[in-house]
Amino acid sequence: MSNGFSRIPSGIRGLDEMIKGGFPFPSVVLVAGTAGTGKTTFGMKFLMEGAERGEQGLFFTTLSEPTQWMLRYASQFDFIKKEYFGNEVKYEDMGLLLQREGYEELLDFIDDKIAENMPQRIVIDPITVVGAFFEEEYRLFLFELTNLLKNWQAVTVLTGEINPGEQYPAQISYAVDSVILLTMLEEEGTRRKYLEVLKMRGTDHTAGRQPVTITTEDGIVVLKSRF
Amino acid sequence: MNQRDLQFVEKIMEEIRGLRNSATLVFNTTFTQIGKTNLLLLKGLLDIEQLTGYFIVLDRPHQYMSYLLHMHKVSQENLWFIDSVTHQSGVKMELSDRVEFLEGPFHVENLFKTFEMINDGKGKGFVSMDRVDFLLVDNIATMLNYNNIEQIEEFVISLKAYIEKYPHMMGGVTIDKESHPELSEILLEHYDYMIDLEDLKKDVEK
Repeated sequence: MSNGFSRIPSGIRGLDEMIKGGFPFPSVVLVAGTAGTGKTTFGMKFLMEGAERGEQGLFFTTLSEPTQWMLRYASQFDFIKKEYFGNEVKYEDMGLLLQREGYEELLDFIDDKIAENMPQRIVIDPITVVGAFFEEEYRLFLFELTNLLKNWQAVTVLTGEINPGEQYPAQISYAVDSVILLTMLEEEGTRRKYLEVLKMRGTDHTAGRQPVTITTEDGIVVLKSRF
Repeated sequence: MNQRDLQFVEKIMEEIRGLRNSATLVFNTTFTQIGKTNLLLLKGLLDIEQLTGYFIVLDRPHQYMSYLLHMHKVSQENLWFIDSVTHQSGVKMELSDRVEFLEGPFHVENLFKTFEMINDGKGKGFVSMDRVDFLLVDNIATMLNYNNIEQIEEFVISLKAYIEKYPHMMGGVTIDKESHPELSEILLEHYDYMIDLEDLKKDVEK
C-alpha cells in the first residue's frame, strides 16, 4: 500500500518506479500513442506480468483479429508465453459485435465477459476504434464503459490511437484515472520512442518524457527515469 | 469458473466443514482476489454445502455479487443481502425481500438492529436468524474508509458475540492481511481461525 492505494505492478520495466510502485487497484489506465509506439506490447506485457503472479487476464480486441493472429504477434516476443493464452489470459474479439450491434450490446458483452472470467487485469485494444462505429454515442459509451470498469475489481488498460495533430485522445482522458502517453520523435535522423505519465489519480509520478525501447525479451523498457 | 476454481472451492469447504458451530473465520487472500474469493466462498456455502445465509456488502452494491452469482449459475435461493453501500452510491435502491439496505458504511453497527428487526418478523420475506447457517462479510478493510479502527474493532467484537448466540451459525470475513496488518491483528485476536487461502490454492495447484 502507498498513499492509501493498493497497487499492482505494471510489468513495464522502469515504469513502476515512476508511479509509486504500480497502478492503483482498481483503476482504468489509458495508454495512448501513434502507430508503432508499442501500445499493444504494453497491454500484453501488463497481462503477462499478471499471469506470472497467478492473476487472471482478459484481452478484448476491437479489430476482428483472430486468436491465430495474436499468437503470431506473440511469437516475436520472448516475454509472451503462449501457454497462458486460453488460460491465464483470455482473448475476446469484439470486431463483429462492433459492426453488427449497438453500443449498449457492446457494454453488455464486456460486462458479461468480465463477470464470467473475474479478471484482475483487462486490456481493451484499441478503444478508439469504437469511436468510428458509434460516432454520435461515443462519448456516452466511454462514460458508461469507464463507470462499468471502475466497479469491477480489476485494473483496465485501454489503448488509444492518437490522430495527427492530436496531443492525446481528449474524449477518453477525462474519464480515466491515468493517462500514459507513448510518442515517437525524430531526432538527428532517428526515430526515438518516449513514455510520459500525463496523469495518475492519487499518485505522485515522475513528470516529463522518458526514453523507452522495445525488446523481444522484455517488451517496453523505460531506459532512463528521473526519480 | 474453471476446474481449478472448483477444486479450490472444494478444498476451502473441506477446511471449514468441521469448524462450523459458532465459529468466526478470517479468510486471508491478496487484495486482487477478494472479489473472486467472496464469489467462491458463496459458491461453496450455497451450492456445495447447501447452507442458508446472509452476505454483508461493504464494498460494491449487492447487484454486482448477485450478477456474478447468476453468471456462474450459483443458486441464490438461500441467500439474502445486507447492503451498506447502495445508500450512498447513487445506484437506485430497489426494494425487494432479498436485500435490506443499511444507511451506509458509516453505520454498519445498524446491522444488528436489522437482524433483530428481521427476527421480530418486520422483514417480510427474510430468513430469520435461527435458520441462518452463515454470515459472510465482504472485504472488511473497506470499513477503514469510513470508520476508525476502534469502531471497526467494536463491530468485529459485536459480530462475534452475535454469532455466538446461534450455535449453528458461522461467521466469515475476508481481508488481505499484508495490506492491513493492524486490522488483521484485531481479527486474529477476536476470531477463532484464520484460513490462508493463497496457501490452500497452492495445495490445489500441486
